[in-house]
Amino acid sequence: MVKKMFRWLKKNHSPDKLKNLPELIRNLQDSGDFLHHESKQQDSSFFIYYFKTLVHETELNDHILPYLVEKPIKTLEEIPERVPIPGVIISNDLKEICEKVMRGFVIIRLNANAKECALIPSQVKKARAVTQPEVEFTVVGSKEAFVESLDTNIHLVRKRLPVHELKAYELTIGKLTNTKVVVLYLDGIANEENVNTVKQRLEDIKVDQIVDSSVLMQLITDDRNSPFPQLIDTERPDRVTSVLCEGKVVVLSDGSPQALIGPTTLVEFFSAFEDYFVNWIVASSARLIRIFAILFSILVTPVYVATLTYHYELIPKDLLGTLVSSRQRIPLPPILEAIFLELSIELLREAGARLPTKVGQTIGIVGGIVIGTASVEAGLTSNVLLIIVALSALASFTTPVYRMSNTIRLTRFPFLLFAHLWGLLGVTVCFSFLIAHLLKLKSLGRPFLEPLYPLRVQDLKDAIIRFPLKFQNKRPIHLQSEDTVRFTPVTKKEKNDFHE
Amino acid sequence: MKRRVCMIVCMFFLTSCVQKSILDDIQMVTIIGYDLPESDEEEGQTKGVAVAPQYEADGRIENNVFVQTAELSKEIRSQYNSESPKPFVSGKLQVALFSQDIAETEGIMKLVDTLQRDPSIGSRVFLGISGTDVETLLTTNYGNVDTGTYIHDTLSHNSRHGMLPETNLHDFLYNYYSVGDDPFLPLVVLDEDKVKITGIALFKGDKMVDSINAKNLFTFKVLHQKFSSNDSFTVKLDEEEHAAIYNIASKRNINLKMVNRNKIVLHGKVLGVIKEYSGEKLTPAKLKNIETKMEKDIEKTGMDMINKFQDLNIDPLGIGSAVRSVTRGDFHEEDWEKRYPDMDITFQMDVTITESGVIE
Repeated sequence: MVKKMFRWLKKNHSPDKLKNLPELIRNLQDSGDFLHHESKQQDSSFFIYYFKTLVHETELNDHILPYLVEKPIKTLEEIPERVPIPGVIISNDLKEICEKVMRGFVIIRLNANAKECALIPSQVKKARAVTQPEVEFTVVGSKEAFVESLDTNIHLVRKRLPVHELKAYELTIGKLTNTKVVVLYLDGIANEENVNTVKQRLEDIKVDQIVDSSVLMQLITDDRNSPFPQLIDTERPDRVTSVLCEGKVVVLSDGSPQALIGPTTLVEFFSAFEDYFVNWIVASSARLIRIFAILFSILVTPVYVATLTYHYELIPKDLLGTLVSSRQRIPLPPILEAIFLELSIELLREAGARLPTKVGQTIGIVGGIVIGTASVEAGLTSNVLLIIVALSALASFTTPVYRMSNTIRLTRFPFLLFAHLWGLLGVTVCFSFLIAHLLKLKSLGRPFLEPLYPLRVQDLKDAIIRFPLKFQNKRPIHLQSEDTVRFTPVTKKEKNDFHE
Repeated sequence: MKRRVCMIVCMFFLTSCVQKSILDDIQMVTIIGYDLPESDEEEGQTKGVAVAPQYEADGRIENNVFVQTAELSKEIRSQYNSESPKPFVSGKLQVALFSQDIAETEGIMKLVDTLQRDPSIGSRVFLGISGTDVETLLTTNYGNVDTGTYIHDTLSHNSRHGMLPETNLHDFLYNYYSVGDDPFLPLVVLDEDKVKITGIALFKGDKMVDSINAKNLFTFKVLHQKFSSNDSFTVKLDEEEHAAIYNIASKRNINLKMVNRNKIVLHGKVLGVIKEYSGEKLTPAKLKNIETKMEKDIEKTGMDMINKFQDLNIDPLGIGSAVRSVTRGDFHEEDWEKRYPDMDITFQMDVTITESGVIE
């Protein structure tokens, strides 16, 4: 019975099962927004069908219909000649007709039983205007961010890269959503293998819906069971442009304001795009601070737990009094104390993320302070740990890629567990597990920990320290670019204007 | 996969193999003192005094003093546990004090041994000899500080910037075990409600044989090692006129060229600054005068000291070790010990005053 119903559903919905055009039209008329209209003239008439929610009606009335009614239409072939809009096609392929009408084409038929029709494009392009980037906001630099419209997004990239080498390979993914996905790369610069890997993986996807590029990311990523993201997503067209020039491959998906970048390395997750906008010394110090923050964020609470549970010898004698007296009234062992605080910080963050406005975050922070102070006063946690946990949470937010900061915060928990079980030895063991895992990771088949392992000294120029731009004249080795040289730096002797 | 599961299961089963010592559930001894027992029937035993600070939530620090007598020092510890609400741990030990009695009669190596054998005790623990009764010294309240830290800091800043040479567990053991070297430890006494360093206790083997007064520590330090500190030396030119010279840097050299003829020359070099002068005017001639006077003074105390060392046949300056380092082939300890008291050791001092203050 159920099977039968499904068959019936399939029969009605798939254009393959419909026999001819009139049947398709009858099927489409089940929807209320599918309009049909007959235009009768002296000796000829035509039928016009479209989805009013997909078609730009003013355009249809002003720029298409006048051309159709000025003279009687004899054959369908006249239509492309008369209507001054590119893209008008004549088809009798039911599948194509169905697809086009669902994308906002207008069907024109000369009689009610004709099996052939003309399709005139008149899509309504409703999209959000290009706005400021919200996730990757930078003080200096471009204030444009990607939007949900694929065409706009490609436009944003193309206007920054006006070269014919910029290729946009388009494909449709998703049995139901039919999402347009575009692979952007610079021909002759991007490694062909990388491009093919991306194309291949995208083509192999068999799902019914792609609603966002994040879904796509999970489907084409190398190791799906890793908490570490292996592709960077960005909403900045300038970042996309920059990585394209480096020789990376970018995937854009319709309906998503995030572009995926690959192949990437771990250090790139800790480099903000703003690093390229400021002087290399400032940028490098920012990167060092970020790397310190990451290590701090992962390790500080576990080290606290380990030290207080096992290694009291390690505590400096001047700190001993502070630590002991802060823990004097606390009934919980360090691990429970730490988990309690870590969980409450996670709760606050999660609640803050779910609250609709930015006010939510403020409330979250205020709540954090209130809860924190109260739990210290109630003797549930020590104020030292409160500071440590708050700082480590803060430190985790310094990661420029949002996805990574989630991972960092998650990584802390196994460390905590190991610290409680084995003390600092456990922390070391857990750290080696982490390193082993990172060593195993790949991004589009390229090593994820590069340039640290495999050690490639040349690529270190833009890793932990960002060297001056004149040193960035070669493309990173790990991208295996077809054209390794970016530019040849010109060294000119500068005029000395000091009168000595 | 099987291996991974196995590993994780093992991890959880192995957790109880590690001993937990949660910071606020342990009694951390910061200073320990050893003394001879008071009554005669406990003869052959050792009295141990341990101080463990208790940090209160309101910032007060209370020093819990535990006194027990037993034969072995680890035995003392298990007795401490019987009267303490929390287990004793020794990982935060900062100072170990020995009473002068115990150091002179029984020797301290038996007690130092337990310190060096315990892996949780660091080798930077300070050792010291107490001139006053250990129990009185350790039960005294020195204000809102933990007694261990208080005495540790007193010793520590004096050996870093002051008159004391470096003397921690490591140094003691090094000097004790190395051939041609004898250990020395700081000597402290209770001065009303403060701990005062009165000098250095000199050891022969692990027994204290003599001491150097704090007045002469400047000379001892010049003789012993290269250093720079804020220590001062007062030169008395006559009854009215004296100058305080602060040491900037000092150096010692041992001239061993004539060691075969039983002659050793020690060279000391001091760079100094005059910080206080009671006379009228400081002329270059006067400076020269002060320099020579200081050289004479140090040479004299130095020579007295060296002669005393030779009489006692101890070598805290490490001359034997210096000789050993330039001796080809075998260096026989017994031989050297026989030769050492009769060595002709001379001490030459060279003082340079570089500054004499801003007023001129």
